[in-house]
Amino acid sequence: MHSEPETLQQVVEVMQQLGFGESDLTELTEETRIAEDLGIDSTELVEIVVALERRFSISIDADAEDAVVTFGDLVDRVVRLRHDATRAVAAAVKG
Amino acid sequence: MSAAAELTESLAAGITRRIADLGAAGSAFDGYLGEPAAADPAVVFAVGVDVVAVERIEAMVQRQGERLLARLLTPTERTWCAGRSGAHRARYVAGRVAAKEAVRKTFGGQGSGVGWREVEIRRGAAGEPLPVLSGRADEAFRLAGLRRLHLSISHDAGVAVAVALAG
Repeated sequence: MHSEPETLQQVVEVMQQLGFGESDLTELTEETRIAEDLGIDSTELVEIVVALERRFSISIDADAEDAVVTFGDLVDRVVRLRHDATRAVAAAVKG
Repeated sequence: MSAAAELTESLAAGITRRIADLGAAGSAFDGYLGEPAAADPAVVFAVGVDVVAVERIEAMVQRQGERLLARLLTPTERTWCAGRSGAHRARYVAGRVAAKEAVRKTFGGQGSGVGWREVEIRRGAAGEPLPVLSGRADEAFRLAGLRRLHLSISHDAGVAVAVALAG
């Protein structure tokens, strides 16, 4: 599974809070497909993305959202953006 | 699958069947699903339909606020949306979302990756919805071999339904 279990768990929590697959989410893998396997439609994915943005104080651009096919894609996007934000803060403090 | 999703599939199947029946009957509509649009500008080459539950959109907007609207609607669409009451706004947004999905479906396999804000739904002189494409939506439209796009939106029984015909 993913290398950042804490982030992964938080993504799952956000999805559960929105009412998505309370039981299904316990068996998620990186390859689990958002639409086909979880039955999440394009509008629901928008809400998940917005909820993740608010939870993690990140900004997921529209192109990135359109490229999300699997649960792994979603978690990777969050992990990468959180790292970018951390690096930006560190650089600002250093500079 | 949600009730709205089931209704969408059912409507799409019904419309496709009716168009196919017209062609099979050898009527004036013969060839609706046949040759690409370039052969006849009146030919309908693709159909897209989508149904969105207004209540679901209203709940989403209540939970996520303007940030959600900013992802689904263009700045122009948001301007038209501003100042409306919660229920009225939800109807408007549901109609736009259904319309954008219906338009995307006419692109077939080319529609993958088309963003919400790359399909803008404007209003014509008579109040009719006018889809305006940009970016990947415009590209997908051309790659799908389409030249014309028509759209209709309706609201009733707590849902917004949109049908797009392309040729």
